[in-house]
Amino acid sequence: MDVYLQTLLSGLAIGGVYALIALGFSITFTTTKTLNFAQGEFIAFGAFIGVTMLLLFSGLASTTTAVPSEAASAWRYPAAVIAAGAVAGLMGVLIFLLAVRPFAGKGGMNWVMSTLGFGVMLQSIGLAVWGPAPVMVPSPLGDDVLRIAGAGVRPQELLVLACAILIMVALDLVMRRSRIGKAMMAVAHSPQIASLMGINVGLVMIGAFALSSGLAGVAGVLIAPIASASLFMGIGFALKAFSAAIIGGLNNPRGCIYGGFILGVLESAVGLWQAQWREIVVFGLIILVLAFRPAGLFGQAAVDKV
Amino acid sequence: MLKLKDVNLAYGPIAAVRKVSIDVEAGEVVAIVGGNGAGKSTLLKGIAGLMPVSSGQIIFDGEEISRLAPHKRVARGIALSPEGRQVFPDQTVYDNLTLGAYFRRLSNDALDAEVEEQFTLFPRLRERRDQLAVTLSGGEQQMLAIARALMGKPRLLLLDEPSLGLAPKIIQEIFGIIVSLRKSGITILLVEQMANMALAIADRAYVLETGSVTLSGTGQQLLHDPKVRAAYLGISHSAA
Repeated sequence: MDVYLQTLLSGLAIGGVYALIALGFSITFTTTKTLNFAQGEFIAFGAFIGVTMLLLFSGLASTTTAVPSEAASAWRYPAAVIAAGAVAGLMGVLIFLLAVRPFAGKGGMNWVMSTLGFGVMLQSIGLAVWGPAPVMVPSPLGDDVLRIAGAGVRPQELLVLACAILIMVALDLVMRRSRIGKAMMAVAHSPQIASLMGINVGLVMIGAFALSSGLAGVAGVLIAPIASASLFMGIGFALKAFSAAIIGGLNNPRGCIYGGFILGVLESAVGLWQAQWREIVVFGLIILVLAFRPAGLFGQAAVDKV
Repeated sequence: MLKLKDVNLAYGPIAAVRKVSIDVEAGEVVAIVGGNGAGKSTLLKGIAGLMPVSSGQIIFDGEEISRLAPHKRVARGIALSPEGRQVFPDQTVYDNLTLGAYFRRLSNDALDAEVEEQFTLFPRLRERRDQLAVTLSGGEQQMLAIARALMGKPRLLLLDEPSLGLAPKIIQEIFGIIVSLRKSGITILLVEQMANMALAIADRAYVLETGSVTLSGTGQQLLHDPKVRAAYLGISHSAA
């Protein structure tokens, strides 16, 4: 019994990370009809900016393969999360201006190539700055396994889950209740009609990329204590998160969040049974979902009234 | 108030509006009538900024606005109620209305007061306040589209085919509202295929054919012009 609870909790934790990144995919897709295929590198950059900040805050040298646990204590880890989110958000503005805006809305798939290329450039820059070695990152809550109803849980997993839920609930509220959220929904429906409301559509699109990239950066720091920070960590997470977004329905932010959790728990459950079958089952499921529900589990075909 | 000088608009290589020059004076209702594909909607899109002009000038309040982004034209006082209503289907009637005033950064109280003004003008919308726009009938969506445009407190209201696809009774109701808007002092540029309705309420009108202005005059003049009657009102010369 406890092993199932353990599996469920770690599945939800990793699923929370997928959900954050998937939500980011959904945000740029609904507002600009484009995706940031450099999202994986934004995750890795987020993790390394987090590492750099932790070391900087603690006055330690920046070349190390393991961040000492005291560097993540107290205010330092939250500050590193916020810094990584902010830097990744700024990078999101850059990628939008340099690699997306020139091609968005013009048809064609040039933005796919340009965002992928931007990601490759980022990875090269990252390797030059931080080197190829993975860096162990401590959890601010320590590494002692907690016992919950007999199940062993790493405190970082609970922290990841709590942060992911907190961020997503806050964003959901902003999207549904605030004026800027409603303006984003209007842009998602039609940039042209939104502009007739006096909404600065270009600015909303920049904001969407900043938010989406910021989420990837935050996800990178959150997952680093579990997966280690590595410049090659991003692609796996980004691919899973993209799959989660597809399963949930790219045009439905809540669906993307559910997709992330479903994928995380499923992956964790299959791993309990046969670890080597994990990827096969997960991607098999995605193909199945797409065959029967092309718009995703929670996606809706557009309803038009003439 | 609004002056178009030799405006050309094109979809890629295909010209949709050719050298159109029109004037709209403050307080007027000006109609643009013409058949399907005459370029009427394209012209309004050009004025609102949804389509770039390929050449010519759009002058509003004495200032050239041809290169201004659409959201900046809204801020100057030009609102478009677009063809086919185009309300935000997944948002409520109330949210659609508040989006119309988005750029004005009103306080919640001021916003509610202005929404209330629109409900006075369009009482049916009040009953639908918290319904998603997609659930409204076509006539209600048209009212919402006009009310949403009015929430921007425009000085010039552009109305694109407000009668499109609506029952005659609803069309009467909508045109009644347009007449009452004119009394409130708002300037209106109205594009319509229902030429008889539009000409009857217009101070002046232009006939647009394949992208060019072929006739202009007061609404009454055009309403009794044999060519207009034959082409757009379905009345032949002999019957007239």
